[in-house]
Amino acid sequence: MTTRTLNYTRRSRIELDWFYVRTVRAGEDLKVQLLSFDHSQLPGLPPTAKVILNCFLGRLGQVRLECGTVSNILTNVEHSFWVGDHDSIRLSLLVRDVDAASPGKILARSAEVPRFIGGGARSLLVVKPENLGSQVWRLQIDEDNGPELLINDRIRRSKDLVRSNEFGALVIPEIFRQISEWVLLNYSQFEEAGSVGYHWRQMVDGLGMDLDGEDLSEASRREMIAQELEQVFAGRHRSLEILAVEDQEGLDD
Amino acid sequence: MIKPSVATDLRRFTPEGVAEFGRRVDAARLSKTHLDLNGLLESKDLTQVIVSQKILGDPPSFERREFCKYLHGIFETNRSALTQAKVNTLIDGGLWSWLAARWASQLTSTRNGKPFVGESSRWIFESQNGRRDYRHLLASPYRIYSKNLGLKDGLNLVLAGPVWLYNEFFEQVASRKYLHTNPEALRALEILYWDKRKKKEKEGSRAAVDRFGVVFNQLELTWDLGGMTAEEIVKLLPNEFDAWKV
Repeated sequence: MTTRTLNYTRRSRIELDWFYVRTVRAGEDLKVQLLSFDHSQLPGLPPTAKVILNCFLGRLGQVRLECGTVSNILTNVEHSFWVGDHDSIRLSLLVRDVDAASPGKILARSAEVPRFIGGGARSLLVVKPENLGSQVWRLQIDEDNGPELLINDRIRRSKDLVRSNEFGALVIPEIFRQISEWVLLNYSQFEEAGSVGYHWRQMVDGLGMDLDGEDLSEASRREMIAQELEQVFAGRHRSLEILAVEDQEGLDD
Repeated sequence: MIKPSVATDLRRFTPEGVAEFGRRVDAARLSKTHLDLNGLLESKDLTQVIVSQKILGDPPSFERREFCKYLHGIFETNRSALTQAKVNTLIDGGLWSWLAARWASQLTSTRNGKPFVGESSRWIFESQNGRRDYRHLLASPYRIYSKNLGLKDGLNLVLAGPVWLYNEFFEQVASRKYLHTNPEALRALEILYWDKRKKKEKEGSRAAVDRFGVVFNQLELTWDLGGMTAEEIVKLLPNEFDAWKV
């Protein structure tokens, strides 16, 4: 016997690896930014439909973050709000209709995911413990998986190291510079949604530098732009925001 | 036990204080007697002082709305002391459990001529327990009140009646996490069940309100209710609500 599921709502599902959300704990506040949303998998969405990121705060209700429309997704807007209890936070992305015939109808929605678990809220930069000899860290860029930060597996309490202000201030900007160079080298290739590179390009684009007309085939030009991007990044973000340490497996507590 | 008329300082229970209060609630429930608070409310070991001045008197009323307004005023006036003591007034279990103990004599109703204490979640605020936290006599109405401070209409039904008395509207709203923090949903509830002219609930509405909660949950799957107006929400409701729309 075959069992079929009836989708009576005609609502599409947003898979968790189609969007990236950056969440940063700042005392009792939470900073949230939608970094990218690959909606190419949902070709039927009207361009005017609204993109909403819902943050569920357990019993304390929900906070709705308006992230633009399907044709103009706002990836450079950071929202900050009081959450109180960080452990109960769950996130969900949805697309709602604005058509006069059915305003408010949900056209697509992701599952609700805890802040530190699952695709929608996972770290953009993967951190892995690795035997690095005498080196403390190394950035490895894998063709399929994108950038991975390797941390020497002999370091005790490596989570604390990665979380430390020193690491955030000194190392992460350099890591971001190296990743930016990689993005610039593959800039046109990463235009196509669905890859890790696409999400990193969205992050770079979100910094607001105008790259139109830049000749990215020249290594020296790429290096220069990457340095500028690093400065903008360090000035605008707390550096640790690109990785969620709590989400990383294998690091020593 | 502190007499209600005597103003007290503002405290919260330590974890040990919460546990001890819980034991006394259980004992009172089983024996159907009043809560024994001897040595508890001002214990140096079981409580922590938040504001040492005698700021906590009797609220003007234990009607949900009036009580919440009174408490909100206390919290706002003493916001810096609360912040200093790292007390989050929406989720602090020690604070709300102590406040319930502080006014225990007024909050204990009677059934069949005997004191009715009820289950411990009415007294002990378990903010992490999503199935029980809304049952707290004081914290739950306060959460609704403080989350909807700017709302002109929408709380007449939900925050009606004394905090210790069961209210169907309150129960439906407080127990549904996406309903009590959606001001437009609360307004929709009033459009349906509040008689503006008589300034009281429509006749028969108490028996019907549970359907609103059920249908709201169902609509939530298909509609972005958090971004809709009360009028739009009401328009979505099925025929069974037509009689209430007039």
